[in-house]
Amino acid sequence: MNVTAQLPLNTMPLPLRLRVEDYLALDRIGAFEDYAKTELIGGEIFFMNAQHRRHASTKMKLYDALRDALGPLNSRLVALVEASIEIPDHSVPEPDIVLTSEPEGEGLVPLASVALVAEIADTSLAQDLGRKAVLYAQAGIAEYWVVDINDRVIHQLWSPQGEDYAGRRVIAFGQSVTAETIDGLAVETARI
Amino acid sequence: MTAQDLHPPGKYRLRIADYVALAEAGAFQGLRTELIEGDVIVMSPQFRPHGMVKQELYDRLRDALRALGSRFRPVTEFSLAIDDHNLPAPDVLLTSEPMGEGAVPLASVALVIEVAGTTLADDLGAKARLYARARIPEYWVADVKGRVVHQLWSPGGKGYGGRREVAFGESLVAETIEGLVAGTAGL
Repeated sequence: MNVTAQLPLNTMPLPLRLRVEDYLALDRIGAFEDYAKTELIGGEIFFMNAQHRRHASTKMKLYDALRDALGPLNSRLVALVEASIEIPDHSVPEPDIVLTSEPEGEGLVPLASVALVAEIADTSLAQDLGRKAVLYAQAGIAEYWVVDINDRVIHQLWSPQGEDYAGRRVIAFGQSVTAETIDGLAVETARI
Repeated sequence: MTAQDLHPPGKYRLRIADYVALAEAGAFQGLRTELIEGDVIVMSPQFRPHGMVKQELYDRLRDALRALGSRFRPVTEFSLAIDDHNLPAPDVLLTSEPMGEGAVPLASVALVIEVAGTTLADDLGAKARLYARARIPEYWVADVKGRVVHQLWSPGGKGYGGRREVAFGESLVAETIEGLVAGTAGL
């Protein structure tokens, strides 16, 4: 039997996973103009619709709370709202909030600079606790918060291991959230 | 604000323009691909059993159509523009417009053929529904392992209404193209 006869054949259609550069090329030609927001997740592009006020105002309140909490810590981390992160080779998520040590500079936020990401979930809860959690855990992002505005709780996840986070707790709105991986960072959720 | 205003995130389906831009940028790295339902699908490498059945079907259809003086011409692996999210490259298709720029226009297509090696389930499933939805009048799936041609016609929204199986060795009589008969002996 020759070598070529041993190559595996597709039995099902095999979608090609788009790379970061493919996604950016599509963005440059205006492919995503009709959408409020898109993300590349594991080589697939997802779009999100326009944000409603409840989502947007929760996001800004959490941003303000994080910014106020980081200030006195003299932390090198800066909170950014909706900045895209490059997770090589097939993902460019745009979390609602990211804490990065490299807020300046060109292009996408480098993965190595990311200490924590937070997503505000209304209709996207299943994706945020599912596909997104897998992505962030696999990328080794140290801590991940999912703010569920329907059930008024925060899912706090840390210690990424493989496809999941080993540490997790659920905190009701009104209690304070203490970061597991950033010394001294605590946020009063009464404010959100 | 009503509940209907809120939608979960959706999957972005690539348009033909996106697919072409990616191809031009070299994103597919020499792979043979199709655009199916907005996904870029990598096609299997083509080995001889599959390749020979395709080649033989092409030859026989070319000869038969010539003899008929038909306006249709078979072509192999031409991109077929079905809609903005589907640009398949069937193994063989019969078109009345083989010349011209760009992809083969849907309205010019009389028959599509896929030669199935490992992809039989998909060719008879999702692909059949795609071609039926596009109202391609007739669709043949040559099953190399099963040594049979699945002949489908009468496209509708859910699939093809007419179907029969023709074993390799028997004659294929097109349902929708007057006078077209292709032998399958020796396939």
